[in-house]
Amino acid sequence: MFLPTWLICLVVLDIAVAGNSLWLLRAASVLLLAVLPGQLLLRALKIPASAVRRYIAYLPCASVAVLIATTLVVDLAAPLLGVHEPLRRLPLLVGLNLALPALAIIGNRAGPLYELKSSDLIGRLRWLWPLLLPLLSIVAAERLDNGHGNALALLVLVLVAVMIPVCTVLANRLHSRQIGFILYASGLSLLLLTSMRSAYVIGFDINSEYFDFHQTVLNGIWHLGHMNAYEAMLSLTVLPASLHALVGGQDVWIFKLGYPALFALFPVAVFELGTRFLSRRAAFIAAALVVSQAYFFQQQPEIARQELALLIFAGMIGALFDTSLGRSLQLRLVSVLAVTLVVCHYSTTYVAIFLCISASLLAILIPRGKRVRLPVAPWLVAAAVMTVSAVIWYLPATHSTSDITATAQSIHRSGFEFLPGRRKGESILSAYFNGVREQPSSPKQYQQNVASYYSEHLSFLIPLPAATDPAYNLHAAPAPQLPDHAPFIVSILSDAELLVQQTINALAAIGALILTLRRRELPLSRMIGVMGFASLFVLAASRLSGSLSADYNSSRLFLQCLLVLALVEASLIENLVTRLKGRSWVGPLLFGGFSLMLLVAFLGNSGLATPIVGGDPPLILYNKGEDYTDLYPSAQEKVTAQWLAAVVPPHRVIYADYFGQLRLDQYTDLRSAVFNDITPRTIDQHAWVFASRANVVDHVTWGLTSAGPLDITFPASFLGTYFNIVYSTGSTEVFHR
Amino acid sequence: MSFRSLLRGVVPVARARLRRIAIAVVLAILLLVLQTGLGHTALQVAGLSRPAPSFVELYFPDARALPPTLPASHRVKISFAVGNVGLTTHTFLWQVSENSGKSRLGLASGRAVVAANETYEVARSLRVACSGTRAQILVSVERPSARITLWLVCPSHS
Repeated sequence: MFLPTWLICLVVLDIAVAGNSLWLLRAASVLLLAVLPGQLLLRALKIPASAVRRYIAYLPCASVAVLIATTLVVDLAAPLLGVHEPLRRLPLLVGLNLALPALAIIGNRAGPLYELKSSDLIGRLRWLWPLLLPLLSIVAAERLDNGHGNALALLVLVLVAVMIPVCTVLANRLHSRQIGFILYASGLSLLLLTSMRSAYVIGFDINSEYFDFHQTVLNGIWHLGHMNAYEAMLSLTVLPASLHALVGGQDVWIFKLGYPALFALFPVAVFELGTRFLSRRAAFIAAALVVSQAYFFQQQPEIARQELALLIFAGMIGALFDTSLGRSLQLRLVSVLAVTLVVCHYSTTYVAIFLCISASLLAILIPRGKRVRLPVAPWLVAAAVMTVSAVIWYLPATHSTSDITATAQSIHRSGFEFLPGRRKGESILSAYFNGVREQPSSPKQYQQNVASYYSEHLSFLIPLPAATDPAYNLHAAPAPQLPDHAPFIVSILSDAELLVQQTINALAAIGALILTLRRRELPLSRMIGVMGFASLFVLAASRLSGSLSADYNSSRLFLQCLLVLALVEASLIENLVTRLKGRSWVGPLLFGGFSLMLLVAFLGNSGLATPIVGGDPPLILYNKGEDYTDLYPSAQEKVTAQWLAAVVPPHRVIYADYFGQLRLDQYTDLRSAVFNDITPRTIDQHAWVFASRANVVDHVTWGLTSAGPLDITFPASFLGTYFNIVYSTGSTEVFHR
Repeated sequence: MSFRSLLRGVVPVARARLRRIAIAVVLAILLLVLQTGLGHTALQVAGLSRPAPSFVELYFPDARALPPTLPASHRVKISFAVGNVGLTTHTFLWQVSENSGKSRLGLASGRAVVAANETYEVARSLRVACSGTRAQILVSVERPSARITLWLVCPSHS
């Protein structure tokens, strides 16, 4: 009698995890952890293999759900059995060896229809060649870090740029799985160009995210109780700590490589969702629209929690639109993914709940004439499951509602703040498109504003009398830009980008309208239209309301909504092509034109044109530029931050500028009494000042104004004259007196 | 079904399976080799191996309680630490000087041999001239260079 495949895989997983110091076994454990738990869960839920084949995102989403649930149970139950650090390799492996066979037993009666084979995932071997692109990307980022130039990084960007029009042309001739691999590889290679820079995590939010993850790893246990939102998100604590324990290596790799590898399935999910009601070409351009956005490949690798949450969201939306599943299967899968989403990321959950409810309401309210009633029950169930789970998780379980409470307080205090940037006499439409237009402050204005704010609200901070000496007035720091080689081309590219972005927005609105109201549309496409409408409503609300936009970054919201909006746009183009099928030139014109638009957007978003036309050097191509100066952490900054944390007394004030604070967030628990305004008139006379590489080497610091961070010259002369330099690595310093 | 037609059906499947196994074996061997010394050298040559950071940490161990004034005797005890962040033992040349604005007066100097990831502490009792209202003590190391400073109010002005 043959052993069941899952049992063999489990034994291999055990061996791979036990010997994970070997790279080969580590790679095997990664593959098995990504596939095996999900495979067994989907079989236990009786999700047919054909449904998983058509929407591959189900598999990693289910694996994440199993890993989170198993780790959480181990974390909470093992201490009762005397295991004090349950988030270690052995307890977790024991947990998996109990959970996975249990799932296998539940799914034991499922027939071959539910058995997912490796050939279902891979297809033909030659389709795997695009996976060389992410490898090239890792090599490119490493070589750039080590000072070997950006030729390979440029090559990756060129290959992705070429992929967009070429695959648009070939899409209908390629197999879906083949296109899936191309999209996955392109998306992942772009994500890795950002995430693999530096030996540490790179970005803004990810610094605090990594700190909480690292603390969980060090503690080996995670407790329920009163905690901040990051500590309460299992995507930042329990899950990465578990993956680190099982896979081995440095914990930072989970965020730098593991999460991008999962999130790169997001455009694949868009494509596979699209193929349910569109041609492969139309579905491809929808996915390519996602890949071409800077929000996707530059911002997301810097927000680990949302990388995972967006994948789960894509899985849940895929299940909600999956007409091949019966109602009961659909609800089971949706419920599992909804609960997983709740514990992964709060804001993605709130938006998902709102989208589900508003799409259901719209589907009910929009007159349907003789058309079939849209199936809103699963959407309402999804919203209900998410709401109930969120209430339980965010309130009694973790008491972590600070984010939503802050938003509610902000709305209560300032109201909806309708179009805060609207000027006197300006039309609503003009104000909407222009957004909030803050005049950039001058260093002098910033100096005055921040000094009066500190004296009014932070009067316990006493600056030195000499701080008002005009010799120490702030000055603007030059922006680290490459010279503009071709200002005319820069201007054209910039205008084209704006035009492309507005066209994309307009197409989304028209597409949603047509899909929702058109009589002959299928229920699936009508529901996608309704969901598109709800997405547009959320985006418009965040644009119209000053309170909402201040509390949640609209670009992150845009990416979540793009899952559906991209399909709505592709559907509009396909509808037009089908309508005008008598004219053979329409298809190539519309698809080609859209593909060209995406190419222009990608050129601008990726900075691919920078070596030729100049401008701000992007982080993925250069070891200089605004992003590099702001975000790239060095080993010197790490040891300096750690020294500071070890030396400062409990009652102290620390100054670290807007971006210097990120180093403290990543490497230390210095959170309270840390001020970001390193100006002579705001620095307390007994302060500790953390000076980052940007401060010491590039002589720049930042003042946070309502129009964004303002580049100003680091006040080295003032600090050097009145403070001691108590610590130095040559490129970083700590001042104190 | 003839033997030939059976072969025609089975051979392509077996070939495809063999190809997959061969690729998996090649990848496995590649991963194993990459983890050896030879693999590390290859990665280094290709510019893929990140060099370990190497720099100096220079600091006052008693940074929370540095003397603000120079005693009337003009003698002050200065302690500082030189940390070697790197993979090999390093010799640092250090110097303590008094910076009066116009000129710099050397007060002490020496060399510190510091093992990898170790710290070497130097303590010296120094006579500081302090001719003006205050004096700046400057501690520096060379290659890699770093400096820390301490302001002292001169006794006649305290």
